[in-house]
Amino acid sequence: MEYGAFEEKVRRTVYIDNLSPNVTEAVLRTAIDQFGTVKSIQFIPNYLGPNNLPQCALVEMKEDKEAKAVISVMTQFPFMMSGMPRPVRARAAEMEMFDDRPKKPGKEMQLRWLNPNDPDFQVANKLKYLVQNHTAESAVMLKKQLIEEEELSKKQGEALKANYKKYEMLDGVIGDETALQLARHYRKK
Amino acid sequence: MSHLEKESRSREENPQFKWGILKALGQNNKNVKFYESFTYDGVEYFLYDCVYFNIQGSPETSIGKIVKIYENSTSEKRVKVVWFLRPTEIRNHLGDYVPCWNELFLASGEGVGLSSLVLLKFIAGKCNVVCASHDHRNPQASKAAIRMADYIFHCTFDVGKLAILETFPDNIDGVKVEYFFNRRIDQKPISAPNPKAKVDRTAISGLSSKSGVNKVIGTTIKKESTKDAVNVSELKHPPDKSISLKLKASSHDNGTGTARSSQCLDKLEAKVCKDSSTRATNVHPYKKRKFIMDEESDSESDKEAAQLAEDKAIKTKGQLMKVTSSLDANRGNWFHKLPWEQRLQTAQESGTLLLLENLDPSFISAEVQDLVRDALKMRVEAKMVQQTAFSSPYYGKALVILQSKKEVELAISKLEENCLMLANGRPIVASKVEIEKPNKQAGFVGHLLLDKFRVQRQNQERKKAVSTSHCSQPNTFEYDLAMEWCMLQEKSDLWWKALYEEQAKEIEVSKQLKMISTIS
Repeated sequence: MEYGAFEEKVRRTVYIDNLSPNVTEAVLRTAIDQFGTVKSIQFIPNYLGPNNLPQCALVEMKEDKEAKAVISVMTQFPFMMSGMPRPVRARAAEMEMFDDRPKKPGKEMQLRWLNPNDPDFQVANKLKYLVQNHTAESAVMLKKQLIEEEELSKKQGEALKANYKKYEMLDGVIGDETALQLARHYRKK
Repeated sequence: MSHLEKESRSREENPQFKWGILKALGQNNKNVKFYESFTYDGVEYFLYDCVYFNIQGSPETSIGKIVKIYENSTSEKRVKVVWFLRPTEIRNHLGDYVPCWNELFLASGEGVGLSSLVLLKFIAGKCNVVCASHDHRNPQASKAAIRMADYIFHCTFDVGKLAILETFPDNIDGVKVEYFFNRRIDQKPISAPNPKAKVDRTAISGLSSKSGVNKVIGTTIKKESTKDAVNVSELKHPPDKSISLKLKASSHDNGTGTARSSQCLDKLEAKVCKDSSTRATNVHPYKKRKFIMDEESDSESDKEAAQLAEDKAIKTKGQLMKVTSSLDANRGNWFHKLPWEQRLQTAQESGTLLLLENLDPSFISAEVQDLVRDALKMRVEAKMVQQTAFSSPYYGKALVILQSKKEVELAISKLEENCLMLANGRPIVASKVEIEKPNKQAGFVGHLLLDKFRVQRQNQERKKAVSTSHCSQPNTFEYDLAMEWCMLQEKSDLWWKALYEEQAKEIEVSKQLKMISTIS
């Protein structure tokens, strides 16, 4: 694929994450079909992350204004897919999210081997160490995020149960005419 | 799809059908053709045969007598059928009457449930119904015949008066009553000898037992009533959902109720049929296409669904093919053409998988392969790891499949002992890595289900495969919870941003050190 065409494709693509494992391509397609024509869907495989990460996908639309519409609606209103209340999240796709990219024309790669005698060697080693540090930090951050998400979910589960109980009680009271009797007692309708 | 599969598929969808003798043309509309017989799915049916029908929403088949066979101007093949009612269907009106175990009641009179126009495809086989009435117009059946019959009937049930009558009227729905009694020997031959009927019956009972559970058969049964034809379509609801609509006279007291709920179902039907058809195609493009065919109620939408299903199947297949070929182009065709996922898996198992980090994120897979080829003199297969919302914008990673474990060890040691630097002072870091397998069993954090509905919902979702996508409305509790999630998502975005900014700073600092060291 030509680079220009690829850039255009990126503009037409929406990156959606926070997807539940129940969301399949069909589900996603049906959901996004409301916004326009879905040209293709690719789920980004999760090779390196923890295996309970939500899914994320690249949804290519026919036109970039459709992509913008998806992002705008999903940013303004929480959009539920295959469950609730955790909404999915949409943002504009970036080139690095795609795995089959064409080469940027005019780019050249330069390589250089350093042996231990090289003055820069120490620094390079330090940089390597830094890289590994950063990877570890990212992993910790991700874990923390997942824990926060779990806690929120638990909290919401409790809130939902309480709310449901409340409505059940209300229903029950209205159903068995306790409310009616009370109303009569207080001479209110 | 291969031609063979296409053929067998069309055979499933269009069981062998052949018209028999043409009887007449329609008086008003010459395009309507009336016939005396037809062959469907290997069985020949004649006018005035008794036939089983598969009606969705009913665990049992329905039995009726064919009084008209026609094909209308839109090429729809239908039969007009006068129903035989089962005792259960009129149990409210039986009164003192105690029916036999295999007794039916012939519908008569005027009203809902007398007869219907049914599409041919809902025919499930022939039924041997013998009239045991002592009406003088009825040729008496022998004891043997009565014993061998699938069903018998003595009386008629007037659907207008809602009462069992022992005397038969002169005609039923415009057809002379003689046609409903047993056939005289000098009349047209009885439809099928008993053994054949029995065979059909066992086949049908097998079918009908499945139909209660799994079989997807949509129906459009246009009822002839004095009001507008009620178009009732039943969905695949589990029986305890209690939207089972009985089309016969039994639910007369719920007459208006059925009409209303059928309208609701019509609205649901369009959505669910579409959803389930798309979902079903995704899972099994070949096997379940038949289900999709049966689910739609009109032949036109049948064709559309078939086209849609085919398109989708081709699309998904097309996607797969595209991936392999592009990789081939890069690699020069010397790896066997398994999909990348599989190659990754085998590489991990055989220990030939390598992770390269600290690459420029704008690298593409081909560049990584070239890089390794030039620097390490190894032919490899590489793929850049796709970035997601919380990938570091500064680091690119790639998964590399080498030829052997030894090569992996070699690469790692080489890259460790000496530093391979990229353009802007990035040393490449290599390490062994384990690929995560997606854990589909893990529930999704953040999706809540009330315990009560959990089991039901899961079953329904598995069966119906409905996608419940929607925007949350501000006046719901769901909205409040969703907002909490949005907040958490925003917060986490900020964390990641802060982290990566920190990391960028650290990298800068280290690089500065480097510059200092080169100067000194």
